[in-house]
Amino acid sequence: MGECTRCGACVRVCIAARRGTPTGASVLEREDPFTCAGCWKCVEACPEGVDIYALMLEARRRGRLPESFSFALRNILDTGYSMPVRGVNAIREMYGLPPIRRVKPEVVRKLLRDVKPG
Amino acid sequence: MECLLYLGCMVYNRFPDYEIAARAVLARLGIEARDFHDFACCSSTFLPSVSDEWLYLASYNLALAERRGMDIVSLCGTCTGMLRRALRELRDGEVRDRVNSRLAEVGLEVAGSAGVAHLIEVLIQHREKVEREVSTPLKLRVALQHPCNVFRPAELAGFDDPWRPRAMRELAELTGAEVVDYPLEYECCGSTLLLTSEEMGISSGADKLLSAREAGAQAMVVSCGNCAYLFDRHLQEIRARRAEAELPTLFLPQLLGLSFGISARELGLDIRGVELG
Repeated sequence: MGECTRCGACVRVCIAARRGTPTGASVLEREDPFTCAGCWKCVEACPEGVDIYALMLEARRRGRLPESFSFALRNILDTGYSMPVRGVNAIREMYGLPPIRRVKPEVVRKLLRDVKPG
Repeated sequence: MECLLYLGCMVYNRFPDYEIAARAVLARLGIEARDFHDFACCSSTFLPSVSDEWLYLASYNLALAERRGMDIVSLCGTCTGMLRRALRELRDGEVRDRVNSRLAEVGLEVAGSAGVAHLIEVLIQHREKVEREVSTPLKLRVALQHPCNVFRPAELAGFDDPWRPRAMRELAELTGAEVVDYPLEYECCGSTLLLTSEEMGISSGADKLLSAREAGAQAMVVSCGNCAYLFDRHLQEIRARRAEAELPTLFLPQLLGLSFGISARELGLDIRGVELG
């Protein structure tokens, strides 16, 4: 795994940087690691093969979780899905789609014991 | 041939028409999309941002597919990317053991043997069949939104060009539709930016739709719930910002389905009230 030389190749292809997110010489120097479109052009562009994905996640784990992330995480912990799913099967039926049996909440709780939704 | 159709949270929750069209088109190609009961979130961008346990939930989905002996076909970019990422992690024996000791608590086991493909990948693999099914060539000019995580990182995707993917274009051209070149074609839609900045997400969506419209497109063709969430569900906000940025969103299987002669209704086009013209 390579090391960052601050060449700026990642910043040049970053849509969040172009939209005005303050970013240093590398996307990893960004103050807010959550403002990221997740398009991973930075990973593709990096000439050193730096594992930007992993380092971005590390930065997020040190940072303060945005409310939108907390909301999605609470949903995942409650239901197994990142957005509210109540009533979805009734809507599916209306459109002639088969009902999909959902994951049991206790399964999710066993798999995600340590996740804190912020 | 059959596959397990992985809807992911976004399509399950918001875009029944994408699923309807995907099922209809796959059926025409002789692929039966089976219901993925008990599926859970792929982990998305949310779980990896807080915990290594993301791998347990992603692997849980893979374990379900293995138990049913089927490969996964996914409809979203992010889901495809996360499930592939999990598959790669599971190649490491130690990681796999750790995952399996957790999965054992819910009565499952994972080997990492189920395939994960995005719908685009399946369709392009069946391009001859797609071509044969086209009975009503379309008179329509469309722009394409290539779902980032289907093609990047290339190391995970393993097909097509990560900078200028060709698969969607090839498929869209088979329908007879004219695929316009527009300056922002290979840009990310920016939908995920909505999570932390409504302003950035909306302005990104507005720029893309405007760029496509100025190139003469009559519809934006997408193949990911996140892209549709921005272009379709936020169209009002986008138009409030740039009134001219009005373009209907069409899912790739809807475009294909129309050229197969499947009715607009059977492709769910009435659900979001899509009008082409």
